[in-house]
Amino acid sequence: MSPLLFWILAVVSVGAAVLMITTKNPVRSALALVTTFLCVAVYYITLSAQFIAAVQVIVYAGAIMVLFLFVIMLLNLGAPQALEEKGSLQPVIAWSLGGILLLTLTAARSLFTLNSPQAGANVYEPLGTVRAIGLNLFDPAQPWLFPFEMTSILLLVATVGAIIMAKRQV
Amino acid sequence: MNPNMTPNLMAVLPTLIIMVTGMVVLIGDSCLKGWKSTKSLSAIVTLIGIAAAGFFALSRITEDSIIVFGGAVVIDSFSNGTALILLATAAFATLLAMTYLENKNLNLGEYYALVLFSTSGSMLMASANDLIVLFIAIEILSVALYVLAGFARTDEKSEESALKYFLLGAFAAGFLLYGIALIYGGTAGAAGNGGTTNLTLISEFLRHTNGVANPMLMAGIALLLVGLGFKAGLVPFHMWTPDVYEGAPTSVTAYMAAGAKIGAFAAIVRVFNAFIPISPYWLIALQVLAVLTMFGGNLLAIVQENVKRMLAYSSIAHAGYLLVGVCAMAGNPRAHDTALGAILFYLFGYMLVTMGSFGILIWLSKRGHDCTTMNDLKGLAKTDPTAAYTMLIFMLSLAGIPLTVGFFGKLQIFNASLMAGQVGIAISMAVASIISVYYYLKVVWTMCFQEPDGNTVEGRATSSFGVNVTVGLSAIGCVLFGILPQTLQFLINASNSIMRP
Repeated sequence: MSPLLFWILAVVSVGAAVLMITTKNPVRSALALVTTFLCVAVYYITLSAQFIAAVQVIVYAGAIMVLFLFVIMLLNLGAPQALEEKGSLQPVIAWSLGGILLLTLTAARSLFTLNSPQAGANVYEPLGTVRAIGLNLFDPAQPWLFPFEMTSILLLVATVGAIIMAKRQV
Repeated sequence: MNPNMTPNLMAVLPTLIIMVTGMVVLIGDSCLKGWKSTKSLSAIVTLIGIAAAGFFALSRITEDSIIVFGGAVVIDSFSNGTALILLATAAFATLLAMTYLENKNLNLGEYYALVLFSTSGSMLMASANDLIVLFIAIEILSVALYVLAGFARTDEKSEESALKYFLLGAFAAGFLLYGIALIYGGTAGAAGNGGTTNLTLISEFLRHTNGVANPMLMAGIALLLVGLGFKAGLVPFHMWTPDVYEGAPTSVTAYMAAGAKIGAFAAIVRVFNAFIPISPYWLIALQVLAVLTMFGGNLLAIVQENVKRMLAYSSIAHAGYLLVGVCAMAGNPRAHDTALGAILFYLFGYMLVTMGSFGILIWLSKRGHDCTTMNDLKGLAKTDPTAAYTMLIFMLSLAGIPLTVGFFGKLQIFNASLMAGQVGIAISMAVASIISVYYYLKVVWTMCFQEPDGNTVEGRATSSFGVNVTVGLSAIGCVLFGILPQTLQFLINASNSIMRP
């Protein structure tokens, strides 16, 4: 990855994340979160993890965000003052937890030897592509085919269950 | 189709038959016009599917174990034996439901489809050789059970029980998945690159560690135990059990009490069998859980006034006895084999008694009023002697009185525990069983030695062919296998396919 691309992504993603927690408007907050998700997806692509990038966009930036926006809409949180709160312990806890996370990450950086970004990007290239994942998933010699097929039963049960629970009259 | 897949598919045939039957019932009930005009066609199709699957499982019960689907699934006599018990559970749950659901205006084909799907899930749990398969199997079982618990959609208690079960179950699934991830990390280097979720490889990896486990693996096993313990209803992860059992329709409660527990214990046996090389790390945790579960379940059951809640706490206590068997697995090889046979025998006996005693509650439930409290049973021996004395057999079996199947199950687990040299836990099992006699006999005393009053149910209101067959077969089995336990020797032998690593 070129350093220029990295810095652009870094500034945009961190900036969007900061904007997400500082803005008073819930809709703006959600949009800033989408920006962060998309930046992370681009990071995945630069690390040759195409599949995870696609999943990140489809599941997080797509499905999860729609859920967020639905909740904002249903609770009618459009007004900027709706999220204001006073005398809450939340910022203190958030700062301290964030600090602990930062410390842990710094400690991990010094405790474990991490690959340099250039080496990491190329060594695992075949693993993260959609093709590689598909070949692994559908290879009868691998143990993943069976659980993958079984998820279809799981989804069927969940669909039938949702319909039964939701309908008052059948 | 790839011709290489045929042996793989043949191996999991019983499970596939159950899944396909579930889909047939689902499609037939919702799409085919003539389906609903034939009375209880869904139930009949379900029973035919179960019989076919049971035939295949029984015909393979002595065959050697094979590993299929690239190591994801192992089919051996243990998985076939467990499948037989589970299929019997599903058949009884179907028979119990037919008239009962009609009385509640709930006779939907989806009930049978969901019972079949959740049975297929628990059958997979018994044959999972990979933690990923185990997770998906548990989810298939659980999602179907969440819906079944809330099947009486207009009943607030049923809704509450479904929601409670779902929320806590989702939480437990998180623990399970996190545990699997940590085990994957903790076995790094087992399968060449990265870690593994394959139980055979995990067991091989552990054998080469000289009994020393790394902290990540230990954390993984602990979280896995929390997830599985929730499904099995072990104290302190049992909070959902009484509320869910009480709220769910009685036929669902019967199925849940037996089916989920059998699946959970089959999975616990498989998983912890692979962990035996590092047993000093987890054995003490399992023993503490077993003692807590036995005493917690039994002591809480004493104060219950609702029979369904009492049976829920009693099922917790029985999970504790089964866990004693799992602990004994970690002992010497002889104790290992005895314990496995005892667990399978115990599960079968527990299934019979559970289906039978809930069947009696269904017998006594009439349209608009479920028989659930002790008051309903007061003086039942005068109003309906057959029901009362059949219930007596089941209560004696649950308490473990000789000449019933429950006695031999407990005796074998007790034996295995002594063989493994775990005397302390064997004694606490005996003490817990003695405590349990009190509340089982309280039911008998209420039925036989109290005068009926205004609250007493008049007698069998939901007496139908299905319920009669279930209660009759359970009662006969309960006594027959209690007097001649050797007739179940094939089931005990089936467990020998699980080798001590």
